[in-house]
Amino acid sequence: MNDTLVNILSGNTFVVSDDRGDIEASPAAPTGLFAFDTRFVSTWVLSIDGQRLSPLSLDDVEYYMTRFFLVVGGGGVYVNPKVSVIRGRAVAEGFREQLAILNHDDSPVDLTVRVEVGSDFADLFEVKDALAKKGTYYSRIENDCLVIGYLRDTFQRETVISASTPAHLDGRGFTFAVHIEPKQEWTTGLSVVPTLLGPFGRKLTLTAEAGPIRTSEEMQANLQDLIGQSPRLECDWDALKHTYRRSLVDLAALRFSAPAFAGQNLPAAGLPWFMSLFGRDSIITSLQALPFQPGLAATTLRELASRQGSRRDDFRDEDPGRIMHEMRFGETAAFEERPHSPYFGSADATPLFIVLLDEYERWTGDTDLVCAYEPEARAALHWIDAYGDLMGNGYLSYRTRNEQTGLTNQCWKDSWDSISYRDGRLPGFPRATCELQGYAYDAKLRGARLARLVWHDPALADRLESEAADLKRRFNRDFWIEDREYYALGLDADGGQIDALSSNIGHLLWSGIVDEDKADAVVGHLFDPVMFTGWGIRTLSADEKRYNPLGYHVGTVWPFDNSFIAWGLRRYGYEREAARIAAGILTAATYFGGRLPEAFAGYERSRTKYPAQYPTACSPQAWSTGAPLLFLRTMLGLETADDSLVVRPALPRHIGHIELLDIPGRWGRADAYGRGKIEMPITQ
Amino acid sequence: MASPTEEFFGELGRREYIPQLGKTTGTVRIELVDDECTRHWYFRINQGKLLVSRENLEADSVVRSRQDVFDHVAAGEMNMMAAVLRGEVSVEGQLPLLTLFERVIPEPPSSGCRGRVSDQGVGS
Repeated sequence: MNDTLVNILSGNTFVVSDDRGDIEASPAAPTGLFAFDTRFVSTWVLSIDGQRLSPLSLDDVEYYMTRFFLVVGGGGVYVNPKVSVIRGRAVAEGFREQLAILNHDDSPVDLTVRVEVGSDFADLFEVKDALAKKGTYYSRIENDCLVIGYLRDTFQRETVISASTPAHLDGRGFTFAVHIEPKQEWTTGLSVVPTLLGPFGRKLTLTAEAGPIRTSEEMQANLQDLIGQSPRLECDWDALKHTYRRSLVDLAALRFSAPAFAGQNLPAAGLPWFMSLFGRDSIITSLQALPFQPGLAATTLRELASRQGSRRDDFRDEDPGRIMHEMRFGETAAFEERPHSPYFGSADATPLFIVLLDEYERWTGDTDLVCAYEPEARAALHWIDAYGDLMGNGYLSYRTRNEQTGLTNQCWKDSWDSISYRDGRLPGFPRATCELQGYAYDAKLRGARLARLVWHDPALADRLESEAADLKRRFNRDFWIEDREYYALGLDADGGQIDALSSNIGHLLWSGIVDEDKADAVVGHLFDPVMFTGWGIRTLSADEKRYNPLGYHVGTVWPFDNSFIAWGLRRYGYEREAARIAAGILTAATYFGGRLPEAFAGYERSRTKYPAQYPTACSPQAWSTGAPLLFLRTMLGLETADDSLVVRPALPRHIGHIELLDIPGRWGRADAYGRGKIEMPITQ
Repeated sequence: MASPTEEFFGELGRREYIPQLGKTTGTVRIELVDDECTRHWYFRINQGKLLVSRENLEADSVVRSRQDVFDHVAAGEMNMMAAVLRGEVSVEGQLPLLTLFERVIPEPPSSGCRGRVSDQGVGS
């Protein structure tokens, strides 16, 4: 995947190709045109007189368009090419390609230009497994278009390809007989449109009716608008400015047009395989981006509310009031081979929905939205105790009811081995991980605030506050490991402590569930060399049996995880420590061109000198894109108090002077200034 | 004997107010086709107040499918979103209305109460 390119537009449509612009999909090279979680093009190969092209250079114009500069043939001794090709591609409803062939010679040329086309219509879930398809393929030529299709019972998907100049069409592509005079060029436009077909041959609509497909100019203006509306960052450290801009552009690329709300955007989880609606990811990213782009939070809240669970459905792990985990539109979801229509198997999205709702109101003062979603918020609060407490012990826990295709771990560390005891054993189910209790505690307190302030229900507010106080008291008794002085990763089905030391305890600071007298010990553990690499805090302590510096959730460092830990450190007054994490992760970002990967290896910083990217990490990934934004917030100490913005900067010295201007909020726009004063340890 | 669709709408029609749809206003037309004819149902919601009708009403969104397919949906045996993805049900028009319409469809008969501890509401 190293030399492939990704273009993206309109959320879930994207193209992955090689550096010539060709698509030849295989399990090892998952290239193609993808839309609605289906690959609509798996072969797209350009040749001239039977010869493939070679890349000269590439102009990665914007996230939605690319230009390839190509010559015929390749390699070997350099010969001045007589013919070159410029292949421009923009993702639209599908994609559009503009081919220009330039004759640099003094004599005319006659060329046979061929574009080979095909599709396997693989479901995104099948792409890497190359599963055999159950349906049949067809192709036909209709109105000068090539239509390739796939049919399985009533499930029908088609790709319609057309050219703007005359071509010979067959079932497998387009052939152009091209004559070009000296120093002249020939151009053609190719359009590729994915189509979903519903009953009675009608075109199927899956999302709110969008406006007309935007042109590249409109996309560019839209991107500039978005950046223009975000606060402006001025600072002495140029790398931070670069990272900030990269984050804003990537956040724009990751926008997903809300399926239920036309013209509104929310963050999808990651490119390219997670361009879909995810409860947890959209909430986390919206929280990180709140001081910068509050509109994302509003759309996330609306969309997730409109898809809130309403019934018990074991296959989908759905309950009334539960916030969804993941939505997919492909064949495996259609035939219920996978539960993503949508799937609800997440134990944290529901309390985090309340956390976002409250945090959104604190920043924006938009009580109308809090009012409008009162029933959904109440249902979410109800879910925590009525459906989320599987053991009846007053703790939020999870166990999938779909043993075939449900998720084993329904917390953010969702890989199979992420939750273990120190000795490496895996606990049974249900599992009540510690950060879930923190989120539930925070949700109850924030729900209480909204109940009192907006819903005018003081009785509910009192009840939630009393439940929160009780939860905090019990939690500090039952999760605290006396002799090791940290919180257990979770409680197992017998109420026993899952005793591994993990980054999850950092989230507890963010939620405020940590007793003041325990905070010092928690912070001490987070910065112990078994946890802190010099770049950031590992997901799992290097002392644990399952620790692996390249283990997805058992040793790598996640920028997003660290950004929430830094937020928690500020909450408990550990300014220096928060700055230390921010400095580590933001410096790591400079090694990735300002774009933080989902995770990087848990090696000691002193050992590798640079952060090693986790092998298959998604990039850009939404909550890694959001991490620098949240670090800016924590370093500047941005919080709200009534109708004003509070700024309490605590910055590493090397960052120097920093200004964040025009921060949007209930105060209108406000500026924040800070100067780096905190010395970092010499290793940093 | 009434079809599952008739039972579903019959039962729905007896509920005057649906709190989960308290801020929704709009009308969904359901067109159900079998070998002989097309039957229409109308589901109108006004700030949670519900009207089920077979009289012609102006609709904001339209659901179309075969009668037997919708019978399964109405009985809770078939997930509507999956049916849409499979091309067995089509939806047009205002989509938020449809995602909300999904809220009144019964749950799958097989889904039990495992794991559920209490049902004391935070209800409004």
